[in-house]
Amino acid sequence: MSVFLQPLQTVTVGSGGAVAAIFSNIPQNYTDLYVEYSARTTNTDTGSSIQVVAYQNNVGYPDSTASFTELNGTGTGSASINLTGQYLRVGYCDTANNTSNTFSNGSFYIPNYAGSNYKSVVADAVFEQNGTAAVQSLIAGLWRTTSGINNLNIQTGRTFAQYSTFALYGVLRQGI
Amino acid sequence: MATDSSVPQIVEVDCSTGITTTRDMTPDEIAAQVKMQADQAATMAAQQAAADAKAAAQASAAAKLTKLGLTADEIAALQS
Repeated sequence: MSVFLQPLQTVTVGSGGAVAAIFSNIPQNYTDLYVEYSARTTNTDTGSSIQVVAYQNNVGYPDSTASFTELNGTGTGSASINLTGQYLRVGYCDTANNTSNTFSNGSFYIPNYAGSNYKSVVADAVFEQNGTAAVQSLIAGLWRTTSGINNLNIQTGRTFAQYSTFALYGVLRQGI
Repeated sequence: MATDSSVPQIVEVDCSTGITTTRDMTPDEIAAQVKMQADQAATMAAQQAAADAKAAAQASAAAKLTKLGLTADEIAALQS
């Protein structure tokens, strides 16, 4: 049971935008990691939404260690997707095609991130634009690496808009 | 750190120091992003094509079921 959630660092994108938010030199003395984000992009070429992906330990695209399965619900339908060997998707966010100033949000949890087993990731995200279109995603992911996670790189392939925010937390289990 | 406004930026925070740095993407990072965008477009196109094909098949099935005498509610129940 987790009894302690320690805020580690927060990244807020400035006026110029940013293609990635990176947490480096993540301390290895917690039990799990937890990331919360609120994001929007500046692009218009991908429709109303764009995926948010995460890379570990400076492994860029394509990430052969990554795989995920996701379930999306739109309120009127559902769909499942799985992908291996490219990236680990952790959700979707708004693009510049959407209602102004709307940001999507999501979170992902990495249990036993510092251990030597493969790293599972569970993500829960909502794409919302104060309109008719909205999607909730539940994602089960895996990084097939035995190294501890000391670097997280979050990106969309486009540019995060100003005020997109990413917060990293360390989780301690009871008894530590 | 000085940045070139024409080059995409990355925001990085060093968790050991708390120092946040905004830097230019490296050429390797830019190349990876370009490849990711291309692959992403292909993936999305494939997903859209699959969704369109499913919707077309459902519409075709509904039309055939209508000719067999099923009501709209009965067809919706079958397709849900």
